[in-house]
Amino acid sequence: MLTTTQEDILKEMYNVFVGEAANLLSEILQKRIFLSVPEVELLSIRDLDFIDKDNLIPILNGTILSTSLKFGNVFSGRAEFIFPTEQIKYVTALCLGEEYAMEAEESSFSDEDFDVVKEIGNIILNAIMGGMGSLLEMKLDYDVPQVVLHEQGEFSKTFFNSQESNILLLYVNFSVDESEVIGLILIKFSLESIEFLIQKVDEISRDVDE
Amino acid sequence: MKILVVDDSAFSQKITIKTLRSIYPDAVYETADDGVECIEKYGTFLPDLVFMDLLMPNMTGQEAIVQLIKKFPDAKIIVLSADVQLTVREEALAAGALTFINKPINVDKLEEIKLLIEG
Amino acid sequence: MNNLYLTIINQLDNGIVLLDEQLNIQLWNNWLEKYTGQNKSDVEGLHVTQVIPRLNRNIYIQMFEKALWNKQKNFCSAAMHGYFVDFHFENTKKLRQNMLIRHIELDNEIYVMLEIHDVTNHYERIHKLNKSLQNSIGFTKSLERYAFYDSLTNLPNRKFILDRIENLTRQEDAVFTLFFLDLNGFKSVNDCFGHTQGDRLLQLVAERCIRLTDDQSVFARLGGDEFVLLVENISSIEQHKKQIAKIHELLSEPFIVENQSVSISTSIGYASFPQDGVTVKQLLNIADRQMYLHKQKINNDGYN
Repeated sequence: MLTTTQEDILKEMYNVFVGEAANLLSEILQKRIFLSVPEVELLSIRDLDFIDKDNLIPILNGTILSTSLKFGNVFSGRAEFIFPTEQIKYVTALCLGEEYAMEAEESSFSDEDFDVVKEIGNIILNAIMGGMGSLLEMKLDYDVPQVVLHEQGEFSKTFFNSQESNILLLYVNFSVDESEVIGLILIKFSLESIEFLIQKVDEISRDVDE
Repeated sequence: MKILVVDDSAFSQKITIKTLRSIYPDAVYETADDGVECIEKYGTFLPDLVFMDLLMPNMTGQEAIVQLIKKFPDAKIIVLSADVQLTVREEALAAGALTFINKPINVDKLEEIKLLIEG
Repeated sequence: MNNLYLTIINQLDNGIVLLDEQLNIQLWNNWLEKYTGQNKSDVEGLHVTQVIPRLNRNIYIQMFEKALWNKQKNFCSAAMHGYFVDFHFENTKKLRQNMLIRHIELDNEIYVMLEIHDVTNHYERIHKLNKSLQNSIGFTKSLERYAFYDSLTNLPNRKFILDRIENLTRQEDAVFTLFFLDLNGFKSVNDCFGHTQGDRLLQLVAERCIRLTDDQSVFARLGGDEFVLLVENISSIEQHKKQIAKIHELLSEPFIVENQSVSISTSIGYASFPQDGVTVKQLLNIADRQMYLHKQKINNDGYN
């Protein structure tokens, strides 16, 4: 759905946004964060069949915590930061400077775990929404994201079953110390919004080629 | 003047060159898509300046800096990266980069670089 | 500010700070007065970092600026930041506070509002609760283990297997067979090598026989050198013969106990539900009797 150039431009921009978020996180945690090149993909929900939906993002089939925010009036949609639950205990321990002990049977999540996810989600979504806002030259209005725990498979069901017809998938892979922590960012747009975004990207592309 | 722009994103290469042209309109530009290609092209193109991205497939910028400096100790490398963590910056400078610019690139940032290079 | 609103803010159970464009404190509520021991009149008008030194870091200043000019909201968790304002009483606990940073606009003036929640006791309580919960879960589990498992071999014990059979006999469509195993000549092993070696042999037998089990079967120790293998959903003679052959084969290889090779065989009897019996007692009796007949045959013939 995206041309190579469009994808390249979006990727490069998200790179900058995510870089900023990682910088803030590394200052808070006082740890070096390793980033990978983000993957960007634009999908139309209508064109996905059931099997696609299940296999598209394997992380979504497990138990996950998501922080989500709804943004904009004219340019609108919903951004989600997804965090597989296995990672959360590790990250919380890291934040608290505690030794992480792998538990055979995962106990339930504490308020601390939720708060950590809320903050990380907030930092990342702020960087991305802020960046998107300046890219589109408009202020995107949004609130501090809320954290929701989804049991296996629950998230995909509601996520794919919605009015917004397009999803911009953004995989961000960031790791701290030895352990790999994968966060995933999904942004859903209304049809008009996606057209607007692509228009902007094309403008940028033309500007550069001039 | 010859400038080599190393970046895995074609868009980023273009925008870097476009911005550079406003400062160095007469320079000759060459691009490389990753660290490996950068090392190959450096030997034949012999640029005066290298603008280097860090996060790239095949060979990262960090590694390319180390290898370039080993072969060409006088190489003038300017890192241009979206990864703006302090430790990343320090690492790049320790490896032998001249200076570090945060992406996105703009004319103001380049003016400073020009001052730094010309003294 | 309207007195009613001010009264409400002063009733809140968390800290509220309002900063102007220069990041000077415009409002400091009652909760903060009590918590920090610093009075409104002393802090109002001062730069936020003078009053709350922990906020004198680039990351916070950037968040305040972004809240002021970009309307960005930020949440800072206690887990990642620890705390922000100092508690003025003697305090041995590690402070924990969450902070929310928001943009506020009124009469063309912009402000940053900081909302500080003390979660020290809350987090601590949850930590303690989790710990005691985990301890009690651990204790219950060890009790369970003790009640249903054999401590020497870690196999399910007599109670476990009898309960299991009892449950199965109550199910209408259940089909299963009980194999009763008794080691041949175990007594002489005990006599020759000693009890410790005898116990070790039982452990080794258990380790091998556990390989017989899957989700359709259970291998348990009844006591002494008696074991039971319960297999669900088998009923034909061929299946039984096959199962018995498997057991013999598993035990055919000698065991190594303290560098000595020990060969041991077993006598096996079996009973099937429902054709051979319908209660635990009937089934065990039949299997036991068959086993005994088998053992006599070995003793008479000298082979198994």
